[in-house]
Amino acid sequence: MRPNSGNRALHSLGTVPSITWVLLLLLIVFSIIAPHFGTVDNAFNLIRQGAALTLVSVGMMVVIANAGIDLAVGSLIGLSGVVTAFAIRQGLDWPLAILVGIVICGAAGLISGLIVAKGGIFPFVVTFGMLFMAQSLALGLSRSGSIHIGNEDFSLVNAGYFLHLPIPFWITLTLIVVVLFLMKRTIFGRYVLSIGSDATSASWMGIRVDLYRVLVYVLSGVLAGTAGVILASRVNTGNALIGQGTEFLAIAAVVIGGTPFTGGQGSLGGAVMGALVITVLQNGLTMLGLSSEKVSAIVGVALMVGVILAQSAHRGGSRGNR
Amino acid sequence: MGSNGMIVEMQGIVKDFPGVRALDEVDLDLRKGEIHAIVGENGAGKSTLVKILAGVLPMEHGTIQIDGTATRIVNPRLAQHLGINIVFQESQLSPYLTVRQNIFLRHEPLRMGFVVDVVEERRRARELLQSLSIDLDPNDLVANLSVGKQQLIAFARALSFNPRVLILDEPTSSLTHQEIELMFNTLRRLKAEGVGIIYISHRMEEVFQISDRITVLRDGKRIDTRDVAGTSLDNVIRMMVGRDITDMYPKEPTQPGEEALRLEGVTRTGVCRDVNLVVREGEVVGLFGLVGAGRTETMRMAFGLDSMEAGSVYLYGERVDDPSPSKSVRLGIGFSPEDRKQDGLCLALSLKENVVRASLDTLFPHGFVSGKRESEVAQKYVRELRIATPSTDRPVVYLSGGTQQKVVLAQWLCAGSSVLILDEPTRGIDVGTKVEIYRIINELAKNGAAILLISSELPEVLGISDRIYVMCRGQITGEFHREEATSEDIAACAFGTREATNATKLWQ
Repeated sequence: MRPNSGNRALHSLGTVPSITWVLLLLLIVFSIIAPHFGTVDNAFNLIRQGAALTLVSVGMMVVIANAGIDLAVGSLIGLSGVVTAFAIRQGLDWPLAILVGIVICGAAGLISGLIVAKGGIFPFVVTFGMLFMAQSLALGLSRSGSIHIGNEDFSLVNAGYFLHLPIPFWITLTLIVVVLFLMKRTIFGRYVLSIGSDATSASWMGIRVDLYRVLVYVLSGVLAGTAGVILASRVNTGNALIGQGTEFLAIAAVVIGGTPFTGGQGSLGGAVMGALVITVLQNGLTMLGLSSEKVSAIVGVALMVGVILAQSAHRGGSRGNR
Repeated sequence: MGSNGMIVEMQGIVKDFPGVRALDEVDLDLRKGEIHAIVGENGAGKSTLVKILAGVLPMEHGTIQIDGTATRIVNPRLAQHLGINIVFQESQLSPYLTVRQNIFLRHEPLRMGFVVDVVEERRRARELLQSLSIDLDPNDLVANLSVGKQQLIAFARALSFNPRVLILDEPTSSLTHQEIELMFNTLRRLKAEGVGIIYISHRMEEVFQISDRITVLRDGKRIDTRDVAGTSLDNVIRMMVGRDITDMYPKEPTQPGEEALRLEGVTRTGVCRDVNLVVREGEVVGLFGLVGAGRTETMRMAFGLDSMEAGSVYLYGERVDDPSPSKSVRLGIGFSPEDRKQDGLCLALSLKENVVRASLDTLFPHGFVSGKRESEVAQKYVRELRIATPSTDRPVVYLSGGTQQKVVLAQWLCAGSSVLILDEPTRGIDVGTKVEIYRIINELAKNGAAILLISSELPEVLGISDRIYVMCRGQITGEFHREEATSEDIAACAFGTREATNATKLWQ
């Protein structure tokens, strides 16, 4: 009885999303047609490459489930890397520098959230503004746009191993589990969904709508900041523009993962799978020797198809409910 | 506890909405262990009053005493803290949370202040549902449940707070007889335990069956509060309506002309079956039925908003091939939707922009819009329909519901519509403006318009229609001419005859 009812409770967030089959299919196809795709080296490369987008997508899923959107995450990735690099160059220990980078991004999320919640401004507008503010801060701080770090220990954040697996894998897994726990087992998750389905109702129930709206953007900022640290470690440089456009890839990952824009529900597993699908597509197509503009074009078309399929699946589903 | 045994005393409550005073110096009190019913017509202010008590709406003036102490209930959290819990008229549940998660939303059993003790929660949810004889799996998603079940969950949720004051706003509208009986048993038990219950319902039977006192509201004013023992149904209804039907419905006899709109065999699975109806020039035809009978859906198909599986629409004797909204408008049909804010108007646009909205092509054939011409046209309708507005530039969002309805009518008149489908045109409108809308409808019919009026208010249908069709479960179950129509017969058709005797009690 108990495990069964537990499964049902996981319904909205935990069941295997249909995008998973697409991911498996892609993995099989690329393993067959792309030389070197199916190697351990490339698997690790995929993990390192996909960690940032996965983290950002997880945050984006929570924001969208709350009926919001966060367009600032792409430039927060850059900001976090630049701030971390700047702090290391100023002589701060690298673990502390990482913390500073992530906290700054959390603070940016806090500001966005406060304006959205207290000012009643559309999140699209607020976070679009934050996109430019974070970017200009990062550009200003780095002067030329990037700060070389050159710290061997720091580069291990990306390149190192723990239990034979790349460290970005463990970071990402840990944060996914934390967010899954927050969404499934704490009042945070419930209030986020409740506010997402109808903020007025939620406030009538006595939920502190403003508080949870703010927290959602803080979470998204922190996850973007972490993603930025991993990317900065990958190139051993703080680059202000390294995350440009990631926000849209993350939104696409969330939507093809089965989370509708309407709010009130969200699939965390779907968001993760969506991010991996995008990463595998990019990686596999590149391994086939396609030029980067061809890769972009194919990924663009694939995403459009994926989003259309996800949306129509959703419409069909909700019609059935009525 | 107050000196006089009152848990709640509300005095001189005043609440304004844009353009209308929703509550005007209303008093209400509630004793320990009593069920106090609030009754009144749509728009009388019942829900507004209890929302103020529940901390959901602020009030302009007035005092609220809880246990004899003046209290400002500034938000729902404070109300909950004071032991006041409410079941709202519309479902406030989160569809993608489970039954259990919804019931305990905002008072989950917690560990460390934020981690939900799921085991404990599951246990309590089972216990609660069992004690209320609600047969539901606490782990089901609310989105998969019927409206009736959702109502029961909202009820269970309110009870899970162990309230001292329980407010129920139309809690039985989607429940079966059996479920209502179960709910009433629970209410009697709570009453015996000393809980004060405020019960809003338009079902007079239920009110007389369950309550101890009745407060009647009309047009935002409290008319009277009576002991159920010392009053009668007739009495209460007279207080609710408060005016002679003849004043309310200024009907003038008309001479129907040629056939204007005809529906033949309109059918769509699960919506309606073989609907035939005719509206003639100069005729007001009422389409009555219970909510969900398929009236709106049928007329949406006739207008071309939804597609039909079988059947045809004729306009002045000619068949309309493949109806679509743009074709309908061109051929002279106007549709005033049930939800005028959502579907009938562009709220942020000005009055004049709304008025010309459906006739831009004809007014400005070259595609350039002239503001001056817009104003002139709008002015004409402001005069003719006596639309209360400071200027034609006023965004309609700031106008009262009745005025907005007039703007919707003006929009179709401006488009030259000669067949008007009016879906609940007086819903949520104050009485004075209602009468004005009726006068406009009369005037239009007199000038040759064919009018189809969808309404759920029987007195309204009886009062202003020349002919009445009744729908029940997707089929036309009756047709009456004005002279031969009685509320009993119409209600019988609307309920599908079986429950007719009971149903007629609802309308005197």
